[in-house]
Amino acid sequence: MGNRNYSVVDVDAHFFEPLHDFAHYLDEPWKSRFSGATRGRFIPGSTGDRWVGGRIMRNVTSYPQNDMAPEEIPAVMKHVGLDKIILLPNKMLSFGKLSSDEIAVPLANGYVDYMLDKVVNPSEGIYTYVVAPFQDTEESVALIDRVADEKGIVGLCLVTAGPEPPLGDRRYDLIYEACQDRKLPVVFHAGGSSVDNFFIRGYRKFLETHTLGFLWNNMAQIVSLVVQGVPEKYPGIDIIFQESGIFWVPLMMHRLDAEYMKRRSEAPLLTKKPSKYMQEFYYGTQPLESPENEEHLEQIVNMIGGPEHLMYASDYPHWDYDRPSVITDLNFLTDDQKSMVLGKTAEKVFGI
Amino acid sequence: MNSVLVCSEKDLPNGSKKVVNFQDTPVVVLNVNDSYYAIEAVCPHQRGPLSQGAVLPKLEASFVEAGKRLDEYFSETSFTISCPWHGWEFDLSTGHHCGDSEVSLKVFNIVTESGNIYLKE
Repeated sequence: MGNRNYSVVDVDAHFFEPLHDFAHYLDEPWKSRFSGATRGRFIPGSTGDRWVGGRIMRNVTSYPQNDMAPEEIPAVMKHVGLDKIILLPNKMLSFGKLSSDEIAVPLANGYVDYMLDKVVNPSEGIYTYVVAPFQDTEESVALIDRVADEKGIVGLCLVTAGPEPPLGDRRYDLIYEACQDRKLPVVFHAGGSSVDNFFIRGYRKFLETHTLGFLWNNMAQIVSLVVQGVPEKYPGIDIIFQESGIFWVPLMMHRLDAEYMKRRSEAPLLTKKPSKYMQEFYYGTQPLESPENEEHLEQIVNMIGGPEHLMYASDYPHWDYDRPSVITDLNFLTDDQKSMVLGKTAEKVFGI
Repeated sequence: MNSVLVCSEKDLPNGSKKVVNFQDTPVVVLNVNDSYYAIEAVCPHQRGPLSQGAVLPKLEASFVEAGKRLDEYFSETSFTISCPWHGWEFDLSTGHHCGDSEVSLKVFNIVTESGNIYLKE
């Protein structure tokens, strides 16, 4: 076991794919374009010093100095204490910034093929999500149909930073329909915290935009998802929101409920309050808040549906990753509940 | 008291309403499309004057097909009253808030006898 007492599944870690290795999995002309490209030429980057002037370091992988190699993954799992890991290609977190489906579609397809060929290994507990090129609904469905049956694919990922209109819009219905038909959970993964490209310009420190960035994107998308009735249209989909901690969830539950009670006719598909749907979702824990009074965290966990709706997520190797101890150290969880959060719930939902 | 006279039927024509007290509770009695309804007259949200609210057919919707607009329509059988202060909307037949059946106002039995309208337990 990765951890002494629990089987640990990390539902949100990242793999930093070498651009030139990945380029071989693209169709022409993108293979040639990417093979000759420098970093950041086609996929937007993000400004802000993650490493706080050299104070934070990773000593298990070649990241951040270099991209990662698939051979490094077992060492990462051992270092963090993982039995299973679900890896999301890191550059895909910028996917929402791509306005052109001419790039997004081949990229999404190439990334899946690269991950399946070079990185994913279910027998070793290494899995990935397929990232939907939401810019083109039909191509997203085609990609889902092509790879959903692969053992290494455990869910669909929609990056919450960028999609306009937001992800509850009916233009994405076919993506959700395909996921429901394929019994593919849908992971909404936050992104977007650049100092220079935040929604409001002029912040001076990454501390400020990183506090807000991921959070705002998840808030924006969960509002659209619930109010537009996606859980009513596709009740068979397991929905997971990742990478904003969990304290934001009760805020949005109560704020949405208050609006809904005053404006029910604008959400006529809903049969219950928004918070009731949100209590049926799952939430990745990282970056888990750690209030001085642990009872506050316990109350938050209970408000969002209980520990059975949480899944441990590390976000390794990002600068603010969480180790499994953020769960094992919690005094208000029983051993069974810790086991659920650390792995059993993810194993059930993702079928791994 | 097990019953109270509201008014005569001719004094509550279609589209009208009247507030009475019944069992120490203000109750609004309405004639909607020649059917009578009686519901608590005070909104449970912030104690707004529900009796002064708009009465409309209940807006309902169906999911028809992926990618298509919802089919939104007014019910032909269910009517609602909305609190004018914040829009909390209640089904006149059940008393339930239209968005949350766990929030509910009391509705009352209506009996007509000899041309008069009564609320009864």
